[in-house]
Amino acid sequence: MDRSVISACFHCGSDCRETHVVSGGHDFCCQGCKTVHDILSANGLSDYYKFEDKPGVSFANRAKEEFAYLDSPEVLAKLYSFEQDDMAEVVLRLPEIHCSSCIWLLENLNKLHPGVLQTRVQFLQKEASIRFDKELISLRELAELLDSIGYKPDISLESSHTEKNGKRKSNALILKIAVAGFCFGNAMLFSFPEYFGLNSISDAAFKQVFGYLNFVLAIPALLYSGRDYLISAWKAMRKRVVHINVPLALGMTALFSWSTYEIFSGTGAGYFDSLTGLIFFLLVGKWFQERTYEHISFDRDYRSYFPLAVTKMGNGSEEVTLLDKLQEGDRIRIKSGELIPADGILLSGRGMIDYSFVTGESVPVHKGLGEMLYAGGRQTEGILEMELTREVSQSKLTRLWNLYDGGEKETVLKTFTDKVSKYFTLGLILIATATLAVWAFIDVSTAFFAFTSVLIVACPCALALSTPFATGNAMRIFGKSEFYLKNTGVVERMSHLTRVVFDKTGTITDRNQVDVKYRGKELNDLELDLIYTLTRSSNHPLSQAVSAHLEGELIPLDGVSEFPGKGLKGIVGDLEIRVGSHEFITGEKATFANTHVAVSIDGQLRGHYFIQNHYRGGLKNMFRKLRSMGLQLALFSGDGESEKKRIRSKFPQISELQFNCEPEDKLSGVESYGPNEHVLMVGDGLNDAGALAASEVGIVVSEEVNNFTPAADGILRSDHLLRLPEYLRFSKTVMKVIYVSFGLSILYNIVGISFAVQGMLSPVIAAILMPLSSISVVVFNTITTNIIARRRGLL
Amino acid sequence: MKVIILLIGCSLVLALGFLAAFFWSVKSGQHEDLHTPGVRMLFDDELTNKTNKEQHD
Repeated sequence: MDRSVISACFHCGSDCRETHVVSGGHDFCCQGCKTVHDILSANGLSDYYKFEDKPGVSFANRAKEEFAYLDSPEVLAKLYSFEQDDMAEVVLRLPEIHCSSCIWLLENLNKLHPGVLQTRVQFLQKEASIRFDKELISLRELAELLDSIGYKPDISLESSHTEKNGKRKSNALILKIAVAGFCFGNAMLFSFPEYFGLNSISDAAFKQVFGYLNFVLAIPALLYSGRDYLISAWKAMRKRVVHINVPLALGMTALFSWSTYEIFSGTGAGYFDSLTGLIFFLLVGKWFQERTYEHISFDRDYRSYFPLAVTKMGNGSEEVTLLDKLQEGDRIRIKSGELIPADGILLSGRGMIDYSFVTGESVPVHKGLGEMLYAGGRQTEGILEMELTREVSQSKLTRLWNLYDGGEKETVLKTFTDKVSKYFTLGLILIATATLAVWAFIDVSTAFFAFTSVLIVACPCALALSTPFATGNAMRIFGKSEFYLKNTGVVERMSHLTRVVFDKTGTITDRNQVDVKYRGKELNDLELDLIYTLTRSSNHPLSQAVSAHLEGELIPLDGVSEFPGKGLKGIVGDLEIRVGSHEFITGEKATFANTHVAVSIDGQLRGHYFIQNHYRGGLKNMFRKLRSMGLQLALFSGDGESEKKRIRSKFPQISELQFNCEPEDKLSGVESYGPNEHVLMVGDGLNDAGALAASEVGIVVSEEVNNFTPAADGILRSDHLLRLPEYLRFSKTVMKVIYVSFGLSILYNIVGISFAVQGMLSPVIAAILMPLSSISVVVFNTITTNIIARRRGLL
Repeated sequence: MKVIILLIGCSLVLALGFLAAFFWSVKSGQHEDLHTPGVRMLFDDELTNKTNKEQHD
């Protein structure tokens, strides 16, 4: 009933509801759609609605000033694909392109603005190359014009360049294939007499001429089409490295030299048809390979999303916002220990910024009001507010994460692959030379034939490729189930762990479920607010628990300092407030062992907040699963001994419990296991950053807070913590898949070489088989890991 | 039989011509988008005027 009343928007076809606009006898769902219709019909472009029914793009509320960065000359220089005098050309990705009306409208963009000279749409790529007059329209205006008619350009500085290069490269490859194909086809034609054994009948002169023609044809095939192989092999040889391309180049030159000798000495017809065919098929294989990899390669920004959030300040309210929702001009609050997600200006608070992730310099830098704060720094003392002057760049944060390596932990597989590739190539050249030598006594002509076949058919590519593809795919799969890894090496390291160390507070306890009880002298409202303000400034789970319990009002403090693992100190006027461990406040060891936050005002102990943690549900099962995988479990906690009994009876699977741990104790605890133990540290990234870095794999459990530490190898959403055994099991499986594909490619090489050594494999067939083997191994890897992931519910 | 040499010459020149044509087509970007040109040729050159359009309605 309702359906019939609701009319569809003339422009975009969505249902017209609250914002229904009627104009010129047409219904529009919103003002935006009507505007576009008006612009189009005023400029004689109403044919837009002729090619397809309701072709428009639905209008969301679009932000102004969004394209302001397009005014910067550096950005422009990066984006222009061509520039001359007043004219510039730019290729923009317009994801909204979806029908032929789009093509028509965009290609008639010059009717909307005289500054646009020409537009060419590439429909399948959803791209438009636009040539425009810089005097009449700036790129920013152009982007806004496109946005206003519903085609918002998706501008990314980093992708624009690499994509262009990629395209150019594949064009060059196609041209090389064309030349090789041309030479191959004609060389076969001139070898016909040879194939049919017509030697005796045909004129000797013809044979000679055909031979020379073949020689002439082989030259461009070798020097133009096969250039990349020759050059890279030459470079590798000069650096005294043995490279995959060395045997290929060696095979080609050997076949070429021998054939040339045969032709010019008149002793035979040579193998120029094989040589050109071999180059042709190698290149076609390479093209196929590139296509396959492109197709199954994981999206480039598989880890560009960080499940991190910061506190955004609205009009008197605060909300927790995901990083990628932040915009320029937003005011955010950074707590002690949090990372600054984007460049901005300090508005309030005292900045002591630790830029060690960016510069390596770990002494915090003091920043006053109005100073610029740069992304990647970590606030070390108290709370501060800043206004963002830039959007959050996920790629920048990712880069920081990857740069901060703390010395790349070498992986066994990588060194294995490197070694195998090296010895493989050396061994291959030896086998080939032996083949050449043995055959030389029987038949010199076959000797070169077999020599080349051996060199071409064997290929360590499959060995070299299976690891990055399997682990890369695993990383993508983990990412899909919200477990983000730093790099592919982590997958391998996760597969051979022997011990898992958990941090207690905030990791296995649930931050959102805490019982807080106060015992001590009565506190008045002002004091409560002061404690609230102070505890708010810290990300420590206990502080958070207390501030969540109090929910008072914020009072500006004159100074806040945090003593990691101990407590907080705040100053208002001449009043000093301290919250923290009993020992931190009073200087005496606590006589009780409960988890607590002691409070003192003006040096006088006022009382304690006792905090009872709740453990996350399902932990017992997870511990049991981990134990059954042969892993030792340990728990480190900064809390007092009181919990020890409870944990021991609740989780008997944990064999080692360490309490009263300072951050340094956690670090030395992890280090004390020695090199024979492979430790996975699971923590909250706040006071266990050192331990996370020292462990073989460090995983931060993130709960909508910005507690990301670049020292960690992975970020795991807290609600997925229970899947940890699954993740570990999957990484073990991935390793198995890699070993199987190693086996496959070794088997393939043995079979191939054994045929080639006997001279039973022609170089052309070898050239077809070689890339085929690499593709099959890579496809095997990807498909198997995907199937297993799907079975286990990870995808 | 000598004519074969001439024929081979011709065929090579012809094939080289095709190769050159292929080079040209790749370099001028004809293989980059195989869809849009087909749609583009269906568009009218002249724009429909708003007034015309309304008279039609």
